[in-house]
Amino acid sequence: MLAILLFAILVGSINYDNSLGYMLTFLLGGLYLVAMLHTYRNLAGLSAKHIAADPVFVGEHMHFLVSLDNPKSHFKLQLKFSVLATESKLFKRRRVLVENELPRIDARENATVNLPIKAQTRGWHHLSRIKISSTFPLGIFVAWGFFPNKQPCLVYPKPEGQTTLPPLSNLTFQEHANAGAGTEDFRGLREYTPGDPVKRIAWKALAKNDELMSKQFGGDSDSHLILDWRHIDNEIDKEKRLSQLCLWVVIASRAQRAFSLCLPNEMIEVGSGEAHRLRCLRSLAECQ
Amino acid sequence: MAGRYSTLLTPASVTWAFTAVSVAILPHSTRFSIWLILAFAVMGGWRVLGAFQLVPLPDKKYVSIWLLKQIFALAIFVATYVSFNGQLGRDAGVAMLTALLGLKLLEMRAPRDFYIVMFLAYFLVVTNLFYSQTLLTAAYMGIVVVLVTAGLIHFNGSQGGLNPRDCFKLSAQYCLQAVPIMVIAFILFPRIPGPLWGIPQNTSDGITGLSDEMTIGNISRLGVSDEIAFRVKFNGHEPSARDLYWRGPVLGDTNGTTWRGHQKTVRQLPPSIDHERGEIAPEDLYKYQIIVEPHGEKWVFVLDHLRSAKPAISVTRDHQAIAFKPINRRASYALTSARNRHRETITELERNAALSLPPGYHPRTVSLSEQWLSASNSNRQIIDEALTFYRQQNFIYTLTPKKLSSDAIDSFLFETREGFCEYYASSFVVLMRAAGIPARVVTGYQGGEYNAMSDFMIVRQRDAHAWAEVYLDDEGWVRVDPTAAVAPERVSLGLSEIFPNRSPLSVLDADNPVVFTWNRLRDTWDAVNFNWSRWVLGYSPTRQRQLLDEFGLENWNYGTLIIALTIISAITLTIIALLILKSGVRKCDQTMLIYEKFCRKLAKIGFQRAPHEGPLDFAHRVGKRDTKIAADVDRITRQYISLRYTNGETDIGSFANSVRQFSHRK
Repeated sequence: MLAILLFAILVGSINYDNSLGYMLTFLLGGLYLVAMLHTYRNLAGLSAKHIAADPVFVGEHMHFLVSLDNPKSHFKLQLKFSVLATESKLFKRRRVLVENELPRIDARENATVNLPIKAQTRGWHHLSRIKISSTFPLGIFVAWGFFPNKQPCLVYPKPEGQTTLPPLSNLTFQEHANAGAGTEDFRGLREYTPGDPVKRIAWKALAKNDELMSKQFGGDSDSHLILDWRHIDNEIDKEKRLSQLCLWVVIASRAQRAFSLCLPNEMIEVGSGEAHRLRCLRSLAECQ
Repeated sequence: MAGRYSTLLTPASVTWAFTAVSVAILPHSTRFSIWLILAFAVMGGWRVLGAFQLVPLPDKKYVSIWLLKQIFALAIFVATYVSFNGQLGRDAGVAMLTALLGLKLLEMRAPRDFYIVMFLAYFLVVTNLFYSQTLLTAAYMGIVVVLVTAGLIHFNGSQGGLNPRDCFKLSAQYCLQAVPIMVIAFILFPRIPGPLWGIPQNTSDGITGLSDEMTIGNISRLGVSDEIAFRVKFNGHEPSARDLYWRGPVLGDTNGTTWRGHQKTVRQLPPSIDHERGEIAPEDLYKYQIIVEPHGEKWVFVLDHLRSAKPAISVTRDHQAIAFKPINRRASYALTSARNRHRETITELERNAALSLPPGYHPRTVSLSEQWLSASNSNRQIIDEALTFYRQQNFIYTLTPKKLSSDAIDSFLFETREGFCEYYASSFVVLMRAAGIPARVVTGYQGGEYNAMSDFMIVRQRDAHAWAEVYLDDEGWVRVDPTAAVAPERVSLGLSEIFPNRSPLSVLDADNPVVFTWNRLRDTWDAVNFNWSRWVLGYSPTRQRQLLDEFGLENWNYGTLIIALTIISAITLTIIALLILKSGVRKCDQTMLIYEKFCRKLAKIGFQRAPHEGPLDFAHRVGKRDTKIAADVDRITRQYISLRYTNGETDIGSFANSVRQFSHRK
């Protein structure tokens, strides 16, 4: 449309032999070239510093957060972000999964944009690259660029099924009772591993030795749950079973009960607390 | 297109669009009928008020928008067709564009419509240039372009917090950055001699100038006009004020009341006269450039006797200079004229034509002339007799003569004896013809005033003049100005000097500072305008060729020109791009860049700055490990901190120096 406009003005100028018409044509032509540069500048220098998304359950939105850093001394306006579906064919318009806009990033500032995408299936979700585009200042040119998403989002199975926890299986429990970790009997110290609850950190030992230690407990017999894959009806679809287990993990964690999780190809020892919960959920999400 | 009004079209953007288009249309408003302006204002105003939700906008609920659009468009077309009597020329086109733009404003729903409206506003600027190309128009054009561009910026940036002032600032900035490209393209873009199709219509309306016929009383209309007819720039010496006769249409035929030019004129190019000239001393040649304001006719005003012209013009047998096309835009000619005429012979046919008088007219004039003929023995004597007659019989030179009775010449010569140049010239020619001397009326301009601010002479419409030429067998055509016999100061001083009190300011003393300043300003403005028309408006295919020849670019064609244009534009654009993209780096960042360079140097010798490490900590660590460079590192770090975090007196140059020298020492 723009080219047609310029051409019309040019032809008019030639026909009427109009010097000022020529001048206007070239002024507009120059203006559009300059605008092209400014559109490019509006994106130039931007760096996506951090892309992270907290794990969510199926059905929730994965919030891919993009933190953009503008090192330049010029503000950036009207940045548009979009994520395209990966399954694309040549000459076919790509389906846009999500779009969002950032109206402004000031000079030497950063801003964060959220790209929420609804999680459909469990597991690791890799976002295809994120497209950033801008039409500022004149809206006649689009500058665009892509940045890859290095940090995928973990999606847990949808927690659904029966809300009643499975009955305690004493036999199975007692076999493991002495070996298993609990919360009641103090058994000694071991080196801190990430994920250990804060309240179990041996602060006194830290003061003495300058090393992080965790207190080990064993025993809490009557609140120990076993969430076993095999105990759920075989007839049910695998995803449904994982959903059921997921729901139990959520409920048990909320009730602050210790539990162990048994999956087709993985066995998680009895435990409790946030780290344990996250580990179990992760295993559920990754379960083959 | 969706039937909904997009929320992206905020009231502010709708107002921008309406304002931009209105400002672009404004110069046309005097040419439009009131109905068109009303229709535009109603449609645009409706949309603006609708955007502010003060009135409902046309909606699908009430009426089919599509149908409404068609009806409106058809109505506009019919109205334009009728009011311009079916002539779809420039005026009608602009009127229709305006009306359709109003309609487009009204049905503006999506961002795309907004862009269309804005682009059409750019286009409206051009339509205005078809009417006027003055410096003021150019300035106005610049303003509209900035305004429309600011509107586009606002549409794209208002969400990001740009207020209208920012938008104007950015817009002006972008336009300035576009100027270098514009200048290069203006000079180098191959100019194609237009028109591409048809002859531009109605381009010469409202243009004043001489006409090719003369009925006594005509030139007085010009006598009071201050408009510029043409400008002259002499190269080398120039004629005295008495010889400044700018020759225009030559009128040789009369029916007793009206004088006309010969219908059949043989044309020849000036060079063909050249072979007769023999040797002419350079002091007898006038070289000058003339810039003619558009007057819609073909004639060019030249000094006697034209020798050469560039671009070429043709010359008739009666020495009229005729351009090849009507002068509808300012035209510039480089001319040479010789002071002395060469003797020429006339054919029997020409002699008869120059002697013919309509039978039965001016009986008293003819009988007076016949008296002189019988009493004298040479043509010279008869001419002197006639001039003496004007001088001695109380003829008065006035621009407001008394009314003449039926036979104009007799009535003037024997009753009123009041008149101006036309009266004298035509009556003199009648006297001569009656006495058997071939004679004709020449119209044109006489005189010209110098602009104090520049080196060119301005000839205005009020300098229009008419004089006579007689053919003497041993001399050829000789100019005789009977007006000079009556009012010699008309010729030596010019009309404005004899009738000074026409301008309200002239009643004041010319030494009055106000008058002086006013004249100065007017002269400056004329000078600016002159250069404007000379360099910008007059930049034609011919001038382009001349200019490029001067730069030593010979034998170029459109192809090489386009290649040159592309290359030079690309280089310029690269420079602009570098400037634009680099402008993001400021002093503060420069400091950081230099410091980063310093860190890289340290990294090379084994000191990697950890991401969490502050400059001071880093310097401390380096100093502890390598005492040799500790002092330098410490100094540089202090300079950096003072530059970046305080308003210390540290000079960025010395900081850069320290960093540079640091590498030399290693």
